Amino acid sequence: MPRVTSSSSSGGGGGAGGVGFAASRGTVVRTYEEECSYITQQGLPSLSPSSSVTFDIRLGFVPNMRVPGRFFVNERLSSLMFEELQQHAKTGGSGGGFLPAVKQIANVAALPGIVKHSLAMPDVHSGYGFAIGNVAAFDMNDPQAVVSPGGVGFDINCGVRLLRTNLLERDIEHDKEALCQSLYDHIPVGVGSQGIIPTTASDLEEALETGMDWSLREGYAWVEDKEHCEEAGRMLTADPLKVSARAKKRGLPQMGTLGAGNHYAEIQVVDEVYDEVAARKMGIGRKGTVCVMIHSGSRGLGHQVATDALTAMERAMTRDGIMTNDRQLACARIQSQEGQDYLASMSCAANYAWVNRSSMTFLARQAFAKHFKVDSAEDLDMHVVYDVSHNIAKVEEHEVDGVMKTLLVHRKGSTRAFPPHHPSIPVDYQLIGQPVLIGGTMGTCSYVLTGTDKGMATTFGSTCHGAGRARSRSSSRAKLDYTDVLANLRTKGISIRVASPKLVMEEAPESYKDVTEVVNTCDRAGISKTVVKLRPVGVVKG
Amino acid sequence: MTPSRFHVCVVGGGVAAVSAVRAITATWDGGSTASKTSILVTIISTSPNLVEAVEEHHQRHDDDGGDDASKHVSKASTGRTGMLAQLHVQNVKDIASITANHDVQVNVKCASVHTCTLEGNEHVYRLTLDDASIIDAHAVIACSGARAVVPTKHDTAGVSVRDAVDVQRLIGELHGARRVAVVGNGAIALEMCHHVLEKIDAEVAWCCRDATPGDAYFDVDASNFVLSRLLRDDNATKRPRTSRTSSARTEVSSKTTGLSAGPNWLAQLDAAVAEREHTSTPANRRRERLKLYPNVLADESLPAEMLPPMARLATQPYRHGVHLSPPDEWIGADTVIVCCGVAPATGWVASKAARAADGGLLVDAHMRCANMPMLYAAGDTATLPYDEERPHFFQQRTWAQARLTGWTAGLTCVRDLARWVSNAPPPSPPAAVDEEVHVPVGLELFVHTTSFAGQPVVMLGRHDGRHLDRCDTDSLQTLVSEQHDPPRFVRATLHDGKLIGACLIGMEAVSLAETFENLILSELNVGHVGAALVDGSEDIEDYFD
Repeated sequence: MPRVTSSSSSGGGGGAGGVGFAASRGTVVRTYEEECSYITQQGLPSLSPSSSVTFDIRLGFVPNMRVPGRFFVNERLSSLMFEELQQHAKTGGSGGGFLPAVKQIANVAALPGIVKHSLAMPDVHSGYGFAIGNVAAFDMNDPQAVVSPGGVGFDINCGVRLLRTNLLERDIEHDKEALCQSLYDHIPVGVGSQGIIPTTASDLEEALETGMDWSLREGYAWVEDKEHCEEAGRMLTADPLKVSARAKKRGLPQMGTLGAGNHYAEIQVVDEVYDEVAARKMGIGRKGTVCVMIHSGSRGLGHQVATDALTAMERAMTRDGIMTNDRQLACARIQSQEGQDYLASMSCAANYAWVNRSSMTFLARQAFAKHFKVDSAEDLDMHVVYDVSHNIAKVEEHEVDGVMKTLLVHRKGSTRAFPPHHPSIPVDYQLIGQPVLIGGTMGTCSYVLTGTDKGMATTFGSTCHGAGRARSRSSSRAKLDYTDVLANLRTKGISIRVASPKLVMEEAPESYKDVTEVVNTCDRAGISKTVVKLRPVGVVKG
Repeated sequence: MTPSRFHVCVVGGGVAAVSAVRAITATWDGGSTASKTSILVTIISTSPNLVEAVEEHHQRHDDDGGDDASKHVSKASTGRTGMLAQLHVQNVKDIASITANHDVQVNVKCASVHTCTLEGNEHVYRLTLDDASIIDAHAVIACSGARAVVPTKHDTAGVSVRDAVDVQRLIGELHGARRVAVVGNGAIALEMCHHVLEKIDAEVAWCCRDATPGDAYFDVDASNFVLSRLLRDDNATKRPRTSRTSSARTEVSSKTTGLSAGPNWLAQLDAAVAEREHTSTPANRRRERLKLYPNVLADESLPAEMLPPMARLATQPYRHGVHLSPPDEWIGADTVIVCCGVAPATGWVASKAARAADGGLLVDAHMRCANMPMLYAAGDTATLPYDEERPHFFQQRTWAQARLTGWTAGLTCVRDLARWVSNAPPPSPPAAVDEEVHVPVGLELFVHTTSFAGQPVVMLGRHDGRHLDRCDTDSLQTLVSEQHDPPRFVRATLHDGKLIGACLIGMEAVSLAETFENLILSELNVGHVGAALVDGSEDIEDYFD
């Protein structure tokens, strides 16, 4: 008999076992119809466009829910979510490795100290612990309230920065290849690539503590850049002592690098302008304006910080008796040592990511200045339009049931979108609201949005972050063929027998990612307003 | 007694040597004392042209045609392109670029080193050169490369592929060949077979000592996948391009040691063949044209006229005979290409210095030679033993590792000299625990980015399962997913639910590289993800974002 060690159905994750884990999966077996009875669409499309994209998840959908769940999806996006739930119900939760996003949203609603709703943006899809696109706020004044690294993600302060130029598409028409090449040559990308900007261990310490202030001091950033970053490019809660030596070691060679995977730098042009006033305020009001978008984060350093915290918190959960529905939702009380340590180290990783984006801004400016033979990128008006973080937790003031509360807002794959007149947004954007940058999947179009009052009231001032899910509906998993190995690993004479599922896919997985649908759904829900559409003309990718 | 100026000799002019010199000039601060101590670095190289490895981003296309630049943008806008940072060697254009430090002076001496010994208790190495001159140095960094291994009794007509010069010779040898014998089983052998099948109308006899071709690089599944790409007949397929740069940019000396051929060597060959053979060559019937001889030792090759009579009969009408043992038979070929790896070139180093079984200088993770103070080795010259402290790393003699180890050797040398300044005479290395912080993260994870048979390949950690004998087999798991159109191969190996290695082939697969790199280094438990980790059904990059 083949021995199968594939453990996809065990649901465990995170690290060492034995933590508080309510084992929700498997305790309640419900049909798909029963599952659906917990989810209600707020209104009919014919009556109200905004309520028809709003879905609520009632208490009881998973055990111990403290608040309801809420997600925003249009017809096409919702069919994906329900299909995923149906698949899950069919297999009784033992079919695949990932929980459906709706279950993940509900599991987060069961975390201690959560307020109002566990929210999900239209680009929601399964992630580690928290779904990508999940927004969850925890009451800082509730001693039971928790912070969870899964609610931030591994790529801490992964974000998007947009640079504008005074160039038009026709100015680069004939030599965009050369311009792209120049960007490639300047920006280090890819696995194993090393930063160009020399950094020492003490540089790294300072960068972790002071974020973009370090970039500014070292001459890699302009003074105005800081103003157009969330938190002015520096989390004041950063404490490099809380970052492990291993995380620093991983961070050192990668400082100023783009990274591979879904990170990229893109040359784009303004394709459509939907809100001329806001677009002009940002300096991108003219069709054809050339921009540079940089999408990157904290790379290996952030990953290590998150993993370190997950491990520490699993221990703290046992000690404090914290129960969660999913082992991946490792968390700690905000006020506990582990909670505070995580916030301090997460802030360092956030600072590192801003330094990274600043270094790449510096390199992109250099590339452009060299290419267009000008003394400085200032001559090309290469200002930072804005810089958003879409994997971060921040302390913010929000109104909950008519009372102002201090909350720790986790945004994972979700972007802060504060409305006009909010004190946290730059002076020049006070009248239009905070710019929100949405990068499409590499090579598709991107958007600039602004925050709204409605978003402030319903989503803690948050909106989507990107193109959303790529989930295959191919039946590849059913074709798993377990072969009793096959000492196929090159073990040089040592026979190792392990069960290895060998899978041959007959068709390429059908993926579905559409940033336009996502952005339009946010617009319909009223949580952000579309300002500009950008079209890529060249990509640098790891 | 601290000298007023240190003298460091860097022996070699290749990737490791230049990287070591760069590290010294980038980090030496005069020894942090009031009276600054300077360093004189002498690079002793057999060639006046120093070379270094730089990252170059190779555009990869599914097909070819049209000029590169226009392609790249149109592809870019449809999002179907991707970049792989591959190393590329180039001449150091401006020596000043590596000497931007007032406290470090760099000289280049064109010579080869005969001997290098430690002179009594003077803490001084004495190097004698082929021009009979003598150089004394406080520290020596050995980056003298390696030479190609040629198994016994291969006559001179057999071409061994080691450096760029060999590639030039090869171009001549392949002209008009009806059958090419490829001896060896590494990356070069694999690419050589691919090249002949793809570009030249000749048969290939591939002789390898292992049961599976490609074994030196791949596990069985991965090598079968690559082989199936290699043998795929597709008349519609235009040539996959290995590199955008097709001209040889590197000049090297004609010595037997030195610069390895590196990832771009094939481009040179392609360009030369394209120039020579204007006619299009049939890139089909590959399955018939490739004959595999696994589990054999090709221990001898001779020109036809020197063959024993029986052998001459067996090898007709080819210009050479290759002896295989077992099964003790001769096969014929017009060209014999030997690509059997390299042996470190360390003959000049004092015999007292500890050597590994392969002849390389035995070094620790800081590139310090095991039993000689102030002697360092890097690149192909060094042998870095497998260290259980860093289970996901092992040595492979690549440019990437030459650059990394060279850089590390330079940094270590600077640290040791700084300690010499503060507490003379030359100190012994500090405790390993204190030094651990200086081990670069690059030495914690094996990463190799390359391409085979026109497909991008990324190998991470224990990608082919080596050193798994130390693991409890019950806790091991491998996941494989393969698909041919478009080509995509993903193999992940897990131990106790943690990713320990991966092999990724194809454009779509290599996009997983960063996520996998992070998962290996973070040691996160991913056992519950199951097949979704490899099969592309879920967006793994996003899941762990």
